[in-house]
Order: sequence, then structure tokens, then C-alpha cells
Amino acid sequence: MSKSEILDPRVTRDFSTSNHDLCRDAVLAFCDSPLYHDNEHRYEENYYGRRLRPHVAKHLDFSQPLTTERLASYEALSANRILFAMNEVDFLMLPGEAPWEEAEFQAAYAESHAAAAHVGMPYLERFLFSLLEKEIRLSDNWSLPAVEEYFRSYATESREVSSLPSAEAIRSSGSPATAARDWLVQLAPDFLIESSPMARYASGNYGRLSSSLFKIIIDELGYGDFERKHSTLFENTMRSAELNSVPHRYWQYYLNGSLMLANYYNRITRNRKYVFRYIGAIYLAETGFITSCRIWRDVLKEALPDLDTRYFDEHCHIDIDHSRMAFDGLVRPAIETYGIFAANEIVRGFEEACWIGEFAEQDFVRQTCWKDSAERNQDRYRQIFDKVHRAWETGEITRDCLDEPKGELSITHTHDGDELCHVVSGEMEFLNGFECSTTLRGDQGIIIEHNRLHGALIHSERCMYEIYNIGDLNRWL
Amino acid sequence: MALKTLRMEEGARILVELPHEKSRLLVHVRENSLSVTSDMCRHRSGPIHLCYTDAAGHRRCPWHDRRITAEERRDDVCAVYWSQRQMLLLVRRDGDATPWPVRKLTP
Ligand code: FES
Ligand SMILES: [Fe+2]
Ligand SMILES: [Fe+2]
Ligand SMILES: [Fe+2]
Repeated sequence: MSKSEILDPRVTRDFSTSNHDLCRDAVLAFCDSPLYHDNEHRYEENYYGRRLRPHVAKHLDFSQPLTTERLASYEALSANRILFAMNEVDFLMLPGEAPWEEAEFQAAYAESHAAAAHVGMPYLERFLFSLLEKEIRLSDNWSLPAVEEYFRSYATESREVSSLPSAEAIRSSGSPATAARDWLVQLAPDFLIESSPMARYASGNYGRLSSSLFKIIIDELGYGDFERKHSTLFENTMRSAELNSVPHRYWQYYLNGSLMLANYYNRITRNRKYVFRYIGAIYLAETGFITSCRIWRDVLKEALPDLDTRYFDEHCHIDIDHSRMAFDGLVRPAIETYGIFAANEIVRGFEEACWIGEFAEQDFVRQTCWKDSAERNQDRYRQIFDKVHRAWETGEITRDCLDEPKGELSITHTHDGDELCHVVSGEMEFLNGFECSTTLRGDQGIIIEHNRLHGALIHSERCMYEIYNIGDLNRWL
Repeated sequence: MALKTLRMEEGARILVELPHEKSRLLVHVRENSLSVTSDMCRHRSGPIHLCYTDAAGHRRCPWHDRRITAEERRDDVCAVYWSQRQMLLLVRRDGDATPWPVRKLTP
């Protein structure tokens, strides 16, 4: 008998992400929980609840890696939502003010649920993040002096950055206060559990690097003082903006990009083979944050004068130390000890985190612009509805007819093409996005821009409405 | 400056000169890789970027027609390529501020 003959498969031989059937089963099994079913609340009322639109998941194909052109598609949003929820099986969440629900606690942390999550996560990560290999190409010859040159120049340049797309979007929005609150919501998936991904690296035995990282973790956790914990500071910020600070109360309004960024940090901390990418990414975060937090603090305070800015003040201050500590205590010794592999991976993590961070900013910019265009999108509806209707009559385009009862909520989602929503009778609150709605009654309607997050809530006893799949709005104008 | 950024299409090649080190490098963006190799023939430093392909399909140096076999990887300059933006970043490892001309090669 050979000592290398180990396997004796009964059901599954392949546990890699190439085993599509296994991984797909795991994703759907994970989604099959009352925690995720559609309900009637626009804000998450159940402490462990995450609305995933699970009934749609089986119609999505996560087997082929996403291309950059489809990064804003519904498939990407859905994968990011599911992946974020899957990562939560690793994080202990206990309600403070929110009511205690034992059954939901048991469901959220059930062994079978965690098992499905751990099979599904690498699969969804492969789907979402493979495109980075093509988007970012690196020479494979990085070394400590080159990384030092590059990172030093990044630190100098980032200090001189005077604005960010997110800040400009808030400032130029038709309603800066709402946009500011929306941006706080976009930061929440990461900041409300701040340093949880990082703290995964508190475990193990990896020499001096571990102690360097632990010093940063200590600060993130408020060195044992709950009031100074960074997530507590952010909760205070949210409350001062009259937002609910229970995680993840605003789940339905987390944008694809915001979730993707959080998922990226989850990926490179949960899977320890990415430790060097994480070191590059954390150097980026700690360094970039010094300036980003100043810019965000200023623009948010402008829009929301009563904002508690201590979260941002703390980062403008402590991340000067964290950036230096990340370089001297992590980047440098990692490359000195583990050489070219560590150097290449560190630059990759730095670049990937930066790339997704920019995507998240752009997603927010587009969403803010879409929300601000609510009136214009009603005008456009009026302008093209007759033409669209005729096109449907001649069979040129398709439509869906819906008849929904009072209280029915279409959980927020996106479409890959433009659509036209026409209300036949009744009253619908069309949800353009976070804290932005348009009331539509009989013979009113709106254009729904592709890739933009939206939902709908029915206010009349019944509401009949039609959704026309118009493809590209421009061809009708 | 130890850093340079330039616009560059996929498949393009860049010639980097480091006069101080008496060396010349080729940066090549390919479908799934980004390479930094020496542009100097091992015989007498002939320009590899001007090499030709003979009837048998072998690359040969324009100076004394010797075969150019393996590409010699160099680490004097490191690179990042962002596909969407079609931007190439070059980082000079020694941080030296002396001039280091860079030019795009016509395919
Ligand atoms: S220099 Fe290339 S063959 Fe002599
Ligand atoms: Fe922090
Ligand atoms: Fe920090
Ligand atoms: Fe919709």
C-alpha cells in the first residue's frame, strides 16, 4: 500500500474553486436562510438579517470571472452582498441596543452555515477579483529599495492631495447633507467593524512582524478603552449625523463598490497566503487615510455642521504613526526576510487596494449623480413613454407587468440595462437610493439608469406597474 | 526623479537608458505579464531591441548576428502597468536623480 494514496472519495474529490457544482451548491445553501429573505423593511430591522434577494441567486452565474466591463453589473452586486455576509460568519456580532434574538443568533452562526460560507467565499472571490490580474500588471523584480522609492513618493504625493471624488460629489450634490450621510453609510461596512479583518492576523507565529502589526491593532481597538475604539468613534459620528449606528442597518444602501472594498480586505486577511498583499494594502490604507480623513472631515462638517468628527481627527493624527509603523515594522522587515516574493506581493496588495478604492469612490459619485437626477429622469420618462409603449406593441421590446399589495418592498437592486418604470394605478414610492424617493401614481413613471441602486415600496392597497426593458436610454431620446 | 509615468498601449515596448550604470533595459507589456529585461547583447552589448528574426525563426543580434537566447531579467527598474488607464509606472531602484531617458519603441 502506497503511503501517498490518501483519497477515498465518496462524494467530492475536488475542493477547489474549479468544482463549480460544489461551490454553487454552497453559495445557494448559504443564501437559503430566513435571515436573507425579502421582507418589507427598507432599513434592516433584524440584527443578523442581511437582505440578499436569495431567490435570484440561482439565476446568476459566478463560474466565469467577472470582466472589468461588468464590474457594476447586478451579478457583481449580488456576489459582493453574499460574500460580505459570508465573511460575517467569522466575526462575532452581538447586539447592544438592538433586541436579542436567540433563534437568529443560532442561525447566523450555525455550523452548516459557516461550512457553506467557507466553501463559497473563495469561489465568489475568484469571480470578483480575478480581473485585477489583468487590470494591474507588475514586473516581478521588486526589491526593498524600489518599494521604498515608490512608497515614499506615494506618501509625499498623497499628502498634497486636496480633494477626492467622493468629497466633490458631496459638495456639488443638489442635497449635500443627504450625500454626506450617504457617504457615512458607504464607509459603515468597513468602519463599523474596523480592524476586524486586520485582527485575523493577531493569530499565528510569524516573528517580529506579528508584534509590529499588533501595535497597530491595539490603537484600532482603542487600547482597551471602548470609548476610544475606532468603531465606537465611528458609531458616534453616525449618531451625530442622526444615523442609526447598529451594524448593518443600512445594508440595502451599501453600494457595490463599498462592499467590494470591504470584501477585498476580508479576502487578504482571511486567506493567510495573502499576508504580504495585506501588508501592502495596509500601508496604503494607513498612509492614504491621513489625507482622506482630513478631506472627508472637512466636507462632511460643511454639509453636517453638528457632526462629531473625532473619528476623522483620530485618523489624521494616529495614522501618521501607523503609516511609519507599517513601513518600518511590516514592509521593510517582510522584504528583508522573505525577499522578492514578499516585495512583489506587497506592491500587488498596495495596487489592488488602491484600484478598488477608486472604483468605490466612482460608484458613489455615480449614485449621487443618479439620485440628483430624479426629476430629470421623470421628465425623460414623459418624453419617451409613448414611443416606448409603441415599441412594446410592435414586439420590439419586452416589458414586465406587476401588481403588488400595500407594503410590498422591492429590495434594492440594479439592472444591467436602462429600464422605464410606468405606474398604471395606485401609488409607489420609488427608492432612488439612500434617503431619496420619488412618489409615482397612475400614469407617472421614471427612467431607471443601468447599474444604479434602486428599490420600490407600495403605499396603496394595490399598485399596478410596468417595467419596460428599453436597453439604452439614448436611442429613445 | 526616481519615478516616471507614461502612456503606453498594450503590447508596446519601452527602451530605458541608465547611462550612469552603462545599461539599457527593455520594458515590455504583454497580455498577462510585464517584463524588464536587458537590452544589451551578451557579446558586445549590441541593441537587442533592433534584433531580427532569421529564416529558422531565431532572433539574432544586428551587430555580429549571434543568437539571442534567454531574456536576461533585470531589477534596476521595476514597473506597474494599469490596463484601463493604459499607464506605465517605472521606478528606478537606486533612487538616483541623474537623467535616465526613456523612449517608446515603434513595433
Ligand atoms: S554584440 Fe551582439 S552579436 Fe556581437
Ligand atoms: Fe482606524
Ligand atoms: Fe490606523
Ligand atoms: Fe428595478
